[in-house]
Amino acid sequence: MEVQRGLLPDAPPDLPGYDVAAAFQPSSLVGGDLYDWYVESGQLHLTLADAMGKGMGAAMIAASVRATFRSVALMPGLTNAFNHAAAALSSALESSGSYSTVFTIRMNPASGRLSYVDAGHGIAAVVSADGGIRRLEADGPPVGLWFEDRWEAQRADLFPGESLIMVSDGVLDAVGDLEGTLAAMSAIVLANATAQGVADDLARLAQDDQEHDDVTAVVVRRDPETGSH
Amino acid sequence: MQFTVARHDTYTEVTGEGRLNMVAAPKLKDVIASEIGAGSRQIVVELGKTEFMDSSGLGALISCLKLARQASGDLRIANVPPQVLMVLQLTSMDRVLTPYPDAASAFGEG
Repeated sequence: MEVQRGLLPDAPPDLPGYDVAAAFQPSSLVGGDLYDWYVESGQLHLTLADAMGKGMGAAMIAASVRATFRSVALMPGLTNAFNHAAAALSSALESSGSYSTVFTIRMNPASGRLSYVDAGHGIAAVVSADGGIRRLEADGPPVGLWFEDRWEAQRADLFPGESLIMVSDGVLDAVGDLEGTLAAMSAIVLANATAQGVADDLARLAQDDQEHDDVTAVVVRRDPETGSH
Repeated sequence: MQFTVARHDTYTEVTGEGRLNMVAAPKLKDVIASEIGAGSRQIVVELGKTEFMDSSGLGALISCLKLARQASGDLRIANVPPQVLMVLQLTSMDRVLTPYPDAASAFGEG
C-alpha cells in the first residue's frame, strides 16, 4: 500500500476557476489503481488507470503506466500521444500477461473543452449543476489486452458549474451496476459543495464491501459563472 | 471456483461455478490449456454460474481465447450473467468475445 500511495500525486494542480480533488481507498492487498494530474503547456492532463489484478505485480504495472504517460506529455495531440504510450507499454504488458484500463484527458481550462481517450475504462461522466449526467462513452479496449489496437481521442465539454467525474471499477463493483453508479454520481454532486466532498463520498460507496478492490475517484469541478460580464 | 469439463461431439464445454477472480484465473487457464492440449478446438465457457468476474478473470478469458486461436480453434462464451456482460462491455471486449445464449448454440449453425 505504501508503494502504491507513493505513486500518487500530492496536491491537486492549481487551476484558477476549477476545483480538482481525488480520493483513494486501497484494497487490503496492493491493487492496480493509479491516478495522475499535472498542468503541461497550459492544459490540464489527468489520467486514471487500473492495472489487472492485485499485489506487487499490479503496482509495478501501474508505475510503468504512469511513467509512460508522463513521458508523452509534451507530444502534441492526445490521439498521437496516447498511441505512442500504448505502443511503448504493450510489449511489457503482454510479456507479463497483464493489461491496464486507462482513461486520460487533456483539457483547455479557459474553454473547458477537453479531449479524452477511454481504453476500456468506461466509467467517466460529466454531471451538470442540476444533476443531469452525460457519460463519456468507452471507445476502445484496455492497453495490452488485445492485438493491434489503436485509440482515437474524443471531444467533450465541461461547462461552468459542471463536474467531470472518473471512478475506478471498485466503485462499480460496490454499487453493482452502471446505471446505479451513474445515479450515485449525480446524487453525490448535488449533495456536495466541493470536489473533495464529491470524491470522498464516491470512495465511501465501497467502504462496506469487505473484499473490495481499490477504489479511486477523481473530480474536476468548474466554477459556475458569476455575475455579469 | 470449480470448473467442470464436458466433451460434446463438436465442442468442449467448460463450466465455471463461483467467482472468476485472481485466484480462479490461473485455474481456468490450466483447464483450457489442457483441453486444447488434448485436442479440443471448439471451446465454450459456460458462465451461467459465474457470480462475479474481475479484471484478472477477464485477462484469463482473453488469454484462453488467444490460446484457442493460436491452435486454429476458437473460444466462445455462453449464458453470460449481467455483471460479466457489463465488464465485457465497459472494456469493449464484447467485440471479440461475443456472448451466446447457451453452450449448444455457440458453435451451432449460423
